[in-house]
Amino acid sequence: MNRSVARPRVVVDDLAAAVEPLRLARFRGEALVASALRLRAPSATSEGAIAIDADNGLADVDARLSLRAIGDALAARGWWLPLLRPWAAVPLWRLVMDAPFVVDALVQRGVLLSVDGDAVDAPRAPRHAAGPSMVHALCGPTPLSLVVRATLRVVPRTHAHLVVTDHGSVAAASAAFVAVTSAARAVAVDAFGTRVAVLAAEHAADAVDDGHSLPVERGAAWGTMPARARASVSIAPGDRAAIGRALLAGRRVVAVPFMQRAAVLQSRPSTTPRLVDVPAAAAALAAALTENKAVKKERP
Amino acid sequence: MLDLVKSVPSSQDPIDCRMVAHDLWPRRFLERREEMAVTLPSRVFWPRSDDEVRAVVLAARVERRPLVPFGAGSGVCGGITPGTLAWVLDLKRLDRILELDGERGHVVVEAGMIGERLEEFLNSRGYTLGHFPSSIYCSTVGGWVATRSAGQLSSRYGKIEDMVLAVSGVDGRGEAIHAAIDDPDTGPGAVQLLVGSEGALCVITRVKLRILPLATHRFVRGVSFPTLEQGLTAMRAVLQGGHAPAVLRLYDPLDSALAGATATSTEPLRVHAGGLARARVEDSGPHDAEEPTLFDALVRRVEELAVFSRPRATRAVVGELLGRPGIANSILDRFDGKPRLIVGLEGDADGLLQRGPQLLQLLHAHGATDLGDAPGEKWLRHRHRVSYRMSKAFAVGGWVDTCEVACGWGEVAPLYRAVREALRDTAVVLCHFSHAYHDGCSLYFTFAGGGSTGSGPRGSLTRYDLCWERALTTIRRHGAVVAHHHGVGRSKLKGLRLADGNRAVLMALKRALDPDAILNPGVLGLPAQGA
Repeated sequence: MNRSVARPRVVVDDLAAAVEPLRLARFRGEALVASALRLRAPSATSEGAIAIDADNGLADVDARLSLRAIGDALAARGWWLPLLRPWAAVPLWRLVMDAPFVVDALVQRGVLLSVDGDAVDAPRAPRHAAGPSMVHALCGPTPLSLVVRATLRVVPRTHAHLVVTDHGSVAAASAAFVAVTSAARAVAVDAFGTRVAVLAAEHAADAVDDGHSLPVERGAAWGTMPARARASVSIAPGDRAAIGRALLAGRRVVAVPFMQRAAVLQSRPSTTPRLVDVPAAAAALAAALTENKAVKKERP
Repeated sequence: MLDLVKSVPSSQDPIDCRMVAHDLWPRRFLERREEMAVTLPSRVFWPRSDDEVRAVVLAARVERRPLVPFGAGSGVCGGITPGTLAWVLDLKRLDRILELDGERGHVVVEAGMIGERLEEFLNSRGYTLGHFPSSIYCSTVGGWVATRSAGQLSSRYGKIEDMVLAVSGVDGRGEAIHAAIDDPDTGPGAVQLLVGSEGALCVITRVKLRILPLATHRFVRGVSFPTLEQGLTAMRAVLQGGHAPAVLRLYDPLDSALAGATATSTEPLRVHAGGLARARVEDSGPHDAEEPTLFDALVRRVEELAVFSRPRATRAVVGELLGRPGIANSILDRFDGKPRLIVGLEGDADGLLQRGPQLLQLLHAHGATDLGDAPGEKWLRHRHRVSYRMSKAFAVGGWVDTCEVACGWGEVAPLYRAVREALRDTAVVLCHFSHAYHDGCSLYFTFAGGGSTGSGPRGSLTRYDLCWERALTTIRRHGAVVAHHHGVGRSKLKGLRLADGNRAVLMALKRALDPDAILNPGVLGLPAQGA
């Protein structure tokens, strides 16, 4: 059994440089938790930190940057992330482990490393069908790979604008959230309390209007926004009851309609991911697949 | 559990085993035509429950038998290739709908359910999955998930992986496994690691899918563009502009020409009652004239040349031409069609009357000429037919196959031209662009060729393999992925170059979930049993 080491103890320039300390830790019988790894982040404005591919609506970013830094730098260049702020200042490589929604919503592909330091090819093409999704190997309590650079979906500010509406009740807000998500035309949907924010092209933003909602000024809309999100639990995008429960509990519920993905945001993850070698990570995943509640429930 | 396997229906009858010996990979048909022997599996099982699947997996593990999951066998990439020692697990008796929850927007269905039956069930209750592969009448839900299938309305509803909320199955250890997007222990990452695994990591037994209410109205229209590049630019603008069309299909000049000439239209936009899902069956009667295939086009062209007066002779010539694709391409080059785009929206009538003109305006700004409703409604009626009409080419000694790849917008046109050029003296090539995203789209190539019998350089099998080799080389050179929605199987295995890390991750998952490597050996470059 590996001992878990929680203290920050490995400080490196990049993930490739982290591989050796990870191996050494494993040699000592220690399993590093992800928070024990510290990477020196570049400035978001430094050369090569963010490269925008305007034709394809993509931004290639250094995964040591946080979403907040990436979002600010993109905004200065006239682009939006299809996720509304605020986000915690957690580096992207770390955020994707706890917030799989970020992978679903943003990460189209990337330069990945297996936890053992081998290059992983995450295809350059959209929506490939060549085996299991390697970008999803970034998520979970024992990720199989780490992201060095990520190609994120971005939206030109000229193509999308923000509409925030107050629906008077959580039930109405949940219904509006599901309606906008189901229509699959908005870039991003974000609900909190009785309010729903929609980032969409002008012709698509009206989908949030159910005839009873009131427009809200942008600043006022998010004045009561709670903690900065740094983890997510995915939910079915049409599950009005689950969305309503999350809103009643004071959580933010977000969706990317084009991917039909939705999630409840959390201010902290339920577990801290452990960085173990690839076979051990796969074994942990296999155990989780076998031991989860759904399987136990059906087991005679 | 091992005793249970004795009660699982099974057969060693050669006819039963023959039925599951391969999928619809065209190469297998060429092999049959060459009178090459069919490799039959040792036994086929028809489990009726997850427990029976577990029993068969455990028994296969004890006997160290390769075990190949089988849905409806409609795959076209050779994903189903059991050896003589293998057992096949035919899942079609796992065909129950276990739960429908419209309020929460999901359905739980067993893996062997035929797609069309699931869609009919959902439609009858006011819902749709929104997944309409052309194989919908002969493919299963489990097969869709195992190969990351895409349907004709993918621009609106997404691919199957976007619809999957949870996957249950049995892994190679014989353990029941379950991954759900809302399970914090496994998370959506685990779901997406099982989706697309082509039967190599687990036998998928049931799937939870998100569903949506049926749309009430539709509008489907045809437009044409002066050039392919203009059509592609317009598609990109539609996607990046957030229009989310339900249908967006661009056909290359040859494919557009085959559809026949259509006059420019000035008719106003009309909204039809019934969404695209509803229009699937009732409007698709046998009374419609059939859409011409590539084969028909060649016949027509030869007839126009008035060389032969007898249909049989004409067909023989066409068969001969398919074996001489350089000449066939020269003949077909005379078909000079304008790239045609079929575009459709779904929603309520008022919304469509507002969104439709906006969408058409955007297309016109990119050089589109309006062709009216007719091409769109015609496509709607014929959209499931083409896959069942390839046999004409095989009957005259030719062959037809398809290859769907995906790449970023910038590479689409260069890749299209490069593949056509690379195959010019090997096959006749058509292409359409039917699954589009903000950052790129899929290219769906259809290639047809011929050749003599036997294994010489002019033999059909040699030509067929050469065609694939050239196509895959070109596809890889342009940085595209070799599979968009058919999976990899065996036809594309040579094009699947995995980095060390990918291999390490896949191998680790395989060892963890299928330590004896009994599940569908040979796919995804994973080792076979005993390797």
